[in-house]
Amino acid sequence: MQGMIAFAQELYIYTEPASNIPAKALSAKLTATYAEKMDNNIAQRYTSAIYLGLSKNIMLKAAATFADMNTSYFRYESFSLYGKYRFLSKDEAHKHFRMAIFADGSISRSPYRYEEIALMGDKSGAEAGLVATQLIHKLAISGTVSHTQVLDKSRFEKGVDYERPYQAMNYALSAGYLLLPLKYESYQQTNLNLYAELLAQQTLDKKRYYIDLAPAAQLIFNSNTKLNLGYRFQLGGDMTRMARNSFLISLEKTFFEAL
Amino acid sequence: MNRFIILIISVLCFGSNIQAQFSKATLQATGLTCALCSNAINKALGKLPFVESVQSDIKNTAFNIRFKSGSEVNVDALKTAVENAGFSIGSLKLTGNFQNLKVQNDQHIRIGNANYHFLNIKDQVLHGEKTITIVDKNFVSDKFFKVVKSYSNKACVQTSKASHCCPDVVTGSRIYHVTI
Repeated sequence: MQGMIAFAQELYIYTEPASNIPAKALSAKLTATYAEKMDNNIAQRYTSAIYLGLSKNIMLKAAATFADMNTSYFRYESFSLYGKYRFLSKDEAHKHFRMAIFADGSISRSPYRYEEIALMGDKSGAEAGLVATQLIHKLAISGTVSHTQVLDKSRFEKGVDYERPYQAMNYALSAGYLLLPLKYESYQQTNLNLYAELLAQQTLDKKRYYIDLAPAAQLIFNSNTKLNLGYRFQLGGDMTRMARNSFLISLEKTFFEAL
Repeated sequence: MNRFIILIISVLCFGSNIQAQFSKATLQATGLTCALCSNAINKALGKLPFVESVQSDIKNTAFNIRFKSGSEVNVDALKTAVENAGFSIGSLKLTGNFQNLKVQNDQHIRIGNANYHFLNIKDQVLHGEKTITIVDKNFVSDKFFKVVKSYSNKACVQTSKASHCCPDVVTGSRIYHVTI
């Protein structure tokens, strides 16, 4: 259901910023996504992920999903690997401009049910993209573009044309704002960040599209633990999807100097 | 007994070659606003073997560092810690206790086990507690580094290492460029 990998250092719920987690850091994250199926039952997906800061510029993520979004019963669904390389970083006082390239691959057990192309649980495939982030004091803005190739076995069946999209371009425009605390005094203060993300996809072979809006809120505890709450809904589109809106809740803990 | 006392005093005065010891530093980091980012730098600095304690000023993204007494401060390790956390150094000021150290503008001088190159100063004698600022590349903003380069014609200012410009320092060895 999710169009893009969901993680952020202190940023973004549905996409990745150009920044990585610190070198030698390890993050553990649990995400629960809930959506209403066509038959009015609630579909669920649970994602468990581990992030590794290999260097200041390279980050790796391994994730597994368990769901009943594409099947009638709950089961292990997919495994994916994601890597991001930050190749540009211009830092100033309370500001930065960063760029990174990323690539990920996923192997999913789910049958190809809906046209929406997503690797985090829905479909097997590979993706590569570019992200740029600008931080200005309490506001962070990111732009992301990526290309996905679905490697579902139905694509390679000889003599059959399912007339399904297997290739897509993905676009995202994300903004996050640090609302609280008003004044920084200690690492024990709880932080509140608000986000709004525009997430769009355009399939290339069989032409379909969607554009979603995803507002979200994030609480950060002890400057190492994040609690994210998001709601994502379709603004426009013509592709078949498991659901046109979903709720997300996730918890992530970062362990510094862990590797 | 008198000879013993004289021996002890002699060892204390001439036994150690260190003419300065850094006791603390103020480090300003750039590229961040939030506390989680600041915490990453805080943890990385605290893990350095020569660091006694770190006090963070989250609002100003600054860190007041106390060094373990008697230990050699590795200035480049401070920069690596900040960069590995994902950020950059905006400024680094080291405070030390100097004992009649004569410093001249645009000249190299060896302090302890490291080479220093004082820039943009009046020739003077450092005595007592003094604070010096590192002005090497990536220890100051790119904009300010352009100004630093104008302080000397020596190539070591650009590379942070001794080359043909510095016959008095072993080629390739690290030179810390500083100002007061």
